[in-house]
Order: sequence, then C-alpha cells, then structure tokens
Amino acid sequence: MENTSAFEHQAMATYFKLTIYNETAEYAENAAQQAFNLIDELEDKLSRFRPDSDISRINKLKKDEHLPIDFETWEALKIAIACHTESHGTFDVGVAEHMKIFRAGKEGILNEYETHKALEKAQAMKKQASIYVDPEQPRVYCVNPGMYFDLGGIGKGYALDKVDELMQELEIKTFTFSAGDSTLMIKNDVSVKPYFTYQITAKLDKHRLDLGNISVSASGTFHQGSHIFDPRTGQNDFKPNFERVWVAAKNATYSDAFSTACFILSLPEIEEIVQTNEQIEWVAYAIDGKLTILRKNQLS
Amino acid sequence: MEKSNRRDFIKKSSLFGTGLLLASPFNITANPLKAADKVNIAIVGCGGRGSGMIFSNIPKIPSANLVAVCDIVESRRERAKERYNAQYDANVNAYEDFYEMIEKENLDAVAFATPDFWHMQHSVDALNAGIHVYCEKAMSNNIEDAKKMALAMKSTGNLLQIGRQRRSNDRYRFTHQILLEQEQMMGRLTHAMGQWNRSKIHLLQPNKNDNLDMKQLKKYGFDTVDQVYNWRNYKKLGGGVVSDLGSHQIDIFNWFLGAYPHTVYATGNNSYFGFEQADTMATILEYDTPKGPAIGIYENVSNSRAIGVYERFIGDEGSMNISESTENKIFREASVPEEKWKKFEDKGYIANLANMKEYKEKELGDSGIKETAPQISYDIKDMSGMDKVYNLQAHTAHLYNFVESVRGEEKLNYDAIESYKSEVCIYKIHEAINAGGARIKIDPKEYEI
Repeated sequence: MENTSAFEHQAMATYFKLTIYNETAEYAENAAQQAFNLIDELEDKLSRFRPDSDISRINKLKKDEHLPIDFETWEALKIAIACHTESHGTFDVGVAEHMKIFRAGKEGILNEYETHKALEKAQAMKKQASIYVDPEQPRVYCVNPGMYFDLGGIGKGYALDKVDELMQELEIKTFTFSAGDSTLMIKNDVSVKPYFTYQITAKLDKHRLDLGNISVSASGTFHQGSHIFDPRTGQNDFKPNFERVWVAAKNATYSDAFSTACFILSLPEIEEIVQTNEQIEWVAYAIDGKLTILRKNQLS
Repeated sequence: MEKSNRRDFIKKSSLFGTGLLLASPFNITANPLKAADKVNIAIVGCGGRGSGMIFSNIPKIPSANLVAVCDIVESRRERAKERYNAQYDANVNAYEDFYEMIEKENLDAVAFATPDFWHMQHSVDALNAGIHVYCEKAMSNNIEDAKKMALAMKSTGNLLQIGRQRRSNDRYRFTHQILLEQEQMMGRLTHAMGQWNRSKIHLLQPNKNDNLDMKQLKKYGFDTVDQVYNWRNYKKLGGGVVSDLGSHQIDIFNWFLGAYPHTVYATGNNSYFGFEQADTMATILEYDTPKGPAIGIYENVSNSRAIGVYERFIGDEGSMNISESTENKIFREASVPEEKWKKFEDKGYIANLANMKEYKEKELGDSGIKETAPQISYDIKDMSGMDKVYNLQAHTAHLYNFVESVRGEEKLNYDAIESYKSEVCIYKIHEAINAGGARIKIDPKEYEI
C-alpha cells in the first residue's frame, strides 16, 4: 500500500508504534503527534507512578472521602469493574499494594518471609476495602480504604481505544497501533486494505492470522517467568496452565484485560468466556509448544 | 432503600468490603452547590490547553458553571461545545468573537488559553468590564504588556490569576510551606537546578475538518495558517521556550529561594529547528536569598526528552528532586543525623522509601545479613499541617483556587503582581539570549509594580 507512515513513542513504561496508511506524510505526522499527546495525557491521569494522577489520588483517599476524577479515569474504572466481574475476579486493578510488595521483595527491602506475610496482610486489607465508583458522574468514594489501584493491566488497551476515537475524528480509516508489542489494534478500510497478516508462534508451532478491525493482546511466561500473580489469592505462586495466551476482542481495553485474565483461568472458563462474552472474538493458547485457537460458534 | 437497611449495608460493607463497586454510597455526598452560588465562566481558546480546562478542570470544580467557549477556528469551538454538552448534559454556547461573547453572556469570569500576544488586550478589557480573569502563562510576549495587565488588576480591583499551575500543586505548596519554610528541612538552599527536555518541537497542522478562512484569521492577527497552529514559534505571537517552559520552573526557583535574581546570564539559539524562537537555551541566575547567596541553573533541550522535566534544590542539610512527573525524591545529607529527620517521619511528612516498615518483622529475623539494600531516600507522605490541601491535579487546583477566590472563599495563589516579578526575569533572559549571550543586572525596582 502506498503512503505508509510509521511513528514510535515511549510512554507507560513501554513503547507505542503507530503506522498510518493511505494518508499524506504530513497529515499522518500531525495525527501521530495528536495520538501521542493523548497517550501522555492519559498516562498523567491513569498512572499510579504519577503523584498527581487521578489514580494516585484515589489511592490516598481516607475513609468517607470522595474525589472528582477525569472522565477518562471514570470510563477506565467502569470498564475495569466490568472486566473483573466477567473474568471471575482474575482481572483485578485493586492490586497496587501487592505490586509494591513484590518490588520490595525483588530489591531486598523485604525478605522472603516478610514478602509472603506482607502479601497476606495486603490481601486481608483489600478484602475489607470498599471503593465506590459513582455510576452517574465522574467521582470516586472511599467507603473503606485498603484497596489500591494499578491500571497497568488495562491502561495501554484503553489508551489505544481512545486513539481509535481520535483517528475517527481525524478521518483516518486504516492504521495499526501497537502498545509494547503485547497489544495490537488494527483498523482498516476494507475497500483499501482487506486485512493485515500476522503470525503467532509457540515452541513447536506457528499460525498465520489475517486480521481486520480487531485488537489482539498476549500474555505469557517467556518474559515474566513461570510464577505469576493471582489476584484471587493475592500470592505470586500461581503456575499457569499455558505458555502463552492471545485474546482478540472488538476493543483493545478488553483484549488487554482478558489476556491477563485468561492466563489464570482454566480452559473450561476460557471456553465459556469466548462463547458468551460479546467483546471477545477468539482466544488462542499454547500448551506444550502447540497452538490452539478457540473461536465463537466452534465450541460445543 | 430503607434507612435501617442502609445502615446494615454500610456496616456490612465496612466489615467484609465490597471491593471496587459501581455504586453511590449513602453516607458520602458530593455536596453540589445551587446554581446561584456558582461562578459563570467562559473558556477562550479550545486548543490543547483550552480543552484541558474544558474537559479535565472545569468538571471537577463544583462551583464553576461553564456557560460558553470561544475560538476563532469553527471546528475547534463547535467540537468542544458538542462534546461538553454531550458528556455533561450541559448547554454551553460557542462564539468566534470574544467581545460578542462578553456582551451576550452574563459572565463572572473568563479563562484565556490563547496565544500570548492576545493576553493583554483581552485581559485588560475583561477586567475593565468587571469580569475576573484567569490567564494562561506567559502574561504576554513583552514586558510592557505584562505590566499593563498587573496594573489593570490593581486599578480595577478585579482578580487576575496567571496559569503557572505548580503554585497550586499540593506537593509544591507542601514543600514550600511546611518542609522549607516551617521545618527548614533542607537548611540553607544554595542551588536550584531545572531542565525541561522534550523530544521535538512538533509542527501542528489543521485537521481535515478544520475549515479555515484566512481572510477571517487575518482579522485576529495571524498572517498564515502555520501561525494559527504553531504560534509559539513566532516572536510577534509568543515567547518561545523560555516563556512556554522555562517560566514554569524558574518561577519555582524564585518561590522556593524566597528571592528574585539580581543577575542573569543566558544564551540560546535556534540551531536545531531554525524557527524564529530559540529551541535550545541555558541560563544562570544569581540570587541573594534571605539565607545567603544562591545560584540557579536552568536548561531547555528540544531534541531529546530522555532526561525529562524536573526541578532540583540543593541545601546544606538536604536536597530534593521535585517534578510533576515521576522525579520526586528527598535526600538527607549524610552529615545530618538520621534522628534529626526521624521527627519529620514521625510527623507523617515524609516516608523513607527504603524501609517499608509496616511490613518488617519486629523481631531480629534475618534483618542483619541479606541482599544489598537501596540508597535511603524519602518521599512526601501526608500533607498535614498545610493551610489547604486541594487533592486535585495542579491545573484543576489552580483554576479551582481562582473560582473560589471569585466566590470570596479563597485568596489567589498566584496573582498578576506576583507573576509579573517572575516575568521580569524571564524577559531579562530573553534579552540576554537576543544579545547573543549576555550578563544582565536587574535592579530590584524593576520587579515592582
């Protein structure tokens, strides 16, 4: 295809790659700059590592306090609540304290015994916490503190979806947008570009995918090790059933959230999600080096 | 729900927790104000910063009632109007002409997010029309106009707050008010350093649906389409990197050091991008602070953002990195006994980032020999003892402070007279750069209005 312009931007502790098709180089650069500005603004609102973000301020709320938040933070939290319910609790944004403890363990600030006990304590605190997100207006209420938020499992996907809205506003119809290689959004004008071809691989297998107007996210043990965190127990000793999982969804927020969730879920639970969840298009997984793809309507 | 049921629900919530829930609690209310208690405000300029005011700041301020938006680019103002009305079930009007807007709308206040060269005339006219003004920095692109603005605030008695938002950032205010002034935690500050590094000066272009009429844009002082979208690159329209970026941070030097520079050295050039304005600059500022001499060192880089944006203050008892991003750490000088700073921890002002004592074993355990621990540093913990904690992002807090000042509930955190003093040293830096790199003395009287 002619007129292909590619751009890269570093944000959210990773890098974003945007490729715009069928536009002039100048217009594509203008759009890319607006997209990256939007991602930076979203990071300022959603990152718990930014002391002035909405999420940092929610994490500091005391009992009976409330906080007005940005529309986008409100939207992201509402989707996070939906994903938590639909993923049987395996996707959970309320685990920032646990993440802080892991880090302290890795840095040698807490020893192994202290880390384990600290995780138990953080989980107990989380279980008695109540944070309400107002359904009517962008506002959060702290009924009982003890749960601290980290939107790392959903923020990049949400950012991609907001850029998709911007691209529609700018009348850009064909582009691919990757967040740290783990979430890929593909938007295409089928009359110009019917699909984009990608490949997923396992140790002993590979599969070609022709993708169009979809988002795909991956989670795996290759980069994060064989023991991963299970928000249902609050411990980081879960041994996953899969080597890697890919989730394709109508939007990037869902593919991002469910790639994390599906990595922890059992196969029957994943099959149920593929069959019933309207946002999820398909899930692929790797076991013993072999790939399997679960598609809607191909399941009994 | 019946009252007794509500009580039971709340009791159960606090015992077992509901986790994160989409619901409104019964016992916490946001206390919305009546319409008559609100400040009718309009936003002029619907570009990047104006959109931030409209969509991120105003909705979080219960006492602000957005009634109108204004922009000379039709698609920008109409998009802002439609999106705001849809998101917040509102009924704001959109105007091209500022003067038509203040004539037709019943405004208490107006906020400007427009190119610098328009600030003076619009601000002075609004103040004279009895409308309070919030104006984005810089006050103008020349010192004479900045002075006119401060004088108009003084003569009309109406409010004029300038948008250097760090002045309303809770962490900056806490650092200034409690750590530096009340506790004297850093001892004597001897150095202030700051950098704003960005990867590029991006050139913006019209979007496909921005229907521009050049004849009409000329009416508002723009000669080309590029001037409309990239006005910061033109000397007759804006102030360049020193005003756009440097003035935020040099203002903090002045605030924290409790003084304004008596001498500036500065150099800069446009060698990387070749625009009218300098894209690279460095300045050294000499101060006589109440505690003794101090030096400020400040730089702008426009071709790499690897080092980020931060301010750093060095004292003889402690030092700190402070920023609106992730660069926030406080360090104790090794010569200061740990016990001396323990009182700041005990008061809850700071937390030692390296101990996580809430999770440490109280008994000996294996605490003696293990992996190498990281360097000791601190961060702000609870902002107790401060006159006011906004608990809002700085841009929202600054506008909130303005709106509450219009209502008579607060005093401005950063009025035009205070801002003018920092603008003076900014224009002296401009002067030094334009002279090809010069040393300029500043008479203390030049800071006065």
